[in-house]
Amino acid sequence: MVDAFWIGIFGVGMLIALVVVGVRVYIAAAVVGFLGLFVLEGWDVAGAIAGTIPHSKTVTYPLSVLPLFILIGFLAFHAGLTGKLFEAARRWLGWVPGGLAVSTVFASAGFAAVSGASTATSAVFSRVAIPDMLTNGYSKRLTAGVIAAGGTLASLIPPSAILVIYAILVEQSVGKLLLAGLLPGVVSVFIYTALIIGMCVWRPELGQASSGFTWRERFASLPGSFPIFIVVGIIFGALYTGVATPTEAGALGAAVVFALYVYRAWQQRDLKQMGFRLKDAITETAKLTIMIFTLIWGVFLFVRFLGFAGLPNEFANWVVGLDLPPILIMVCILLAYAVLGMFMDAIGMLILTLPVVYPAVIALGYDPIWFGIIVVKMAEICLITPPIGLNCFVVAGVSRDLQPVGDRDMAIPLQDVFRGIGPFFVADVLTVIVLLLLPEIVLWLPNQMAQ
Amino acid sequence: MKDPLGALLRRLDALVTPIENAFNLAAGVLIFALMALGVLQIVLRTIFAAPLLGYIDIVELSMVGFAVLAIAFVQRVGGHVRMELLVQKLHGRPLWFLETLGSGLAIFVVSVLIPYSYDHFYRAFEYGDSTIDLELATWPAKLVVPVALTLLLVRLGIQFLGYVRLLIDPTLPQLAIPEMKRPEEVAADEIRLAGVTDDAKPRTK
Repeated sequence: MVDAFWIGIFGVGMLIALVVVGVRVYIAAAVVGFLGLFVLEGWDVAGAIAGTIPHSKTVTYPLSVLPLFILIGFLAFHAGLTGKLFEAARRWLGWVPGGLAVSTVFASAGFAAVSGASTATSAVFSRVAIPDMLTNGYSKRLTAGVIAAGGTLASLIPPSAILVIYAILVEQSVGKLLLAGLLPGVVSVFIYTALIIGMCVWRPELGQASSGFTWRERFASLPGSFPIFIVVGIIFGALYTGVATPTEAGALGAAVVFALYVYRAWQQRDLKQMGFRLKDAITETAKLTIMIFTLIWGVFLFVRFLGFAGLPNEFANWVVGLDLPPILIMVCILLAYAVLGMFMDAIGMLILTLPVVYPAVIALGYDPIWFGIIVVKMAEICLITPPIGLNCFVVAGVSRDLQPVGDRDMAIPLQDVFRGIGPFFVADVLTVIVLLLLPEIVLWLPNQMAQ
Repeated sequence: MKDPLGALLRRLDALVTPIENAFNLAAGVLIFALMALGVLQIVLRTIFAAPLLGYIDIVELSMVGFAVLAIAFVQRVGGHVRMELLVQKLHGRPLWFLETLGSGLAIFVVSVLIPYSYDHFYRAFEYGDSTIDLELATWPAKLVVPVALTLLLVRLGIQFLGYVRLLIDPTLPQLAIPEMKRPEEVAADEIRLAGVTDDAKPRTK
């Protein structure tokens, strides 16, 4: 049907126009989706479809893991884990060139295992690591760069809300996607580490090694970070063996973090403050949750229209029919994501584009799990690139409020953050290239998973 | 300067805000309960080998409480995703024109969704649609959708009038519309949420 196809194309054009002029994405998608269905199928059919979607597309059990992962993240910030993790990391890793920067990367990665929120992870580590690094003579740019980049690890290393959303949108196993994020996260950590060591060997003035910890001190630092390992153990154990659903693992993980949080508040005799924070954490969790769910049903309405118009199939056929090597098409898709991600929230970008892009990628013969990890890594890169680069704004924002230590000013201007992030941006591009060339890094772990 | 519309909006806003806040808090509490239920399920199943019957039914029925209920709250605080590339560069009437247009579209589609989602509820109510394991009625959950969307419609109406008011007279103070945040301000919110600044006072929004 040529007609339906062109109505579909017109709909896509209209959606893009509405999104660009700042209409909220769920409204833009729902309006175009409804009107498109109306044109193709008539008012009553369009209404009947539109009336069921907000309920039927949101109340499915696999999606129930989302609010729990988000809750873990918000509670984790108040559970007092970050300082201890950083201390443990510096005792174990401080001796390498640029040791405190390397420690920041490892501690961020550890914290990422209980948090799925990049920007907030950067905020927490700004407070923990900036004073330490700057008083030890680290350059402001390296300090800022490593903290902003370290935060991005949160989206790849489970629990990660964005990977759950991808899994549900493309109807893949949530557990497999979450497991698949782990090794690429580790690869990112090693590439960052190699970069820092290389930079600090080449220009020692960037940051010194800090040594002098005994083995006893090293082991003494470990118990403080045990809770992280418990949460990681619960979530990975459940996903890998399949004894619990992601929702149940998320619930148990959240409960452990919540217990820590209560324990800490009780220790500090600060239960009133805890009450406020808990209310803040759950209302923010609710807010983020509904934002995601609303986006999902809004876009599903649009997707239903596209389906009637036959557009995803046509697009996939067109892409496959292109006389180009698949890898080149993949690079083009990734570049498009890099540009789009500069102007749009990562979750919004994924939900909006995947219904059309995903079938084409699969038709090209790429693995669905692998593509999810690559796309999320791309979305993360956008968190550290101008003009929005929210992680960079967060680092600059926290540093401005830090107390000076001695005569050292802790503030790191935004320009310095953006300059400092440069090498890490290159490292991220390198990671994507590695994952493009060696998809086994992504796929090995999920393929080991118990069926 | 006289501003009768502003006075009306202020009153309407004050009327709807507490309901929205309550819905959002209810959604948060429900998520917390979901956590407790999940733990209970694991304990019962692994330790007592007696899993909760209909656990998935209960989860799916309650999901509407955090998936849809607080939609008006998030609309009020401007939490729904959008691309601000263009609107951030605009000021005055061109900006308020686009915003009016956007909320007009929203009002249109939400007005369509309300009766049809009510139909969806009514069918379940009439035919006694129920869940698989426990055979719980699904209509109360389905009724939440038109209720939440009606509140959203009221909120959208308030915002629409708020934008129209500024379109007529851009010199008036902004009222009853979500504030647009620059990246620095979004960053400041994130920092506060991560507990990095030490003011965990209840928020006034």
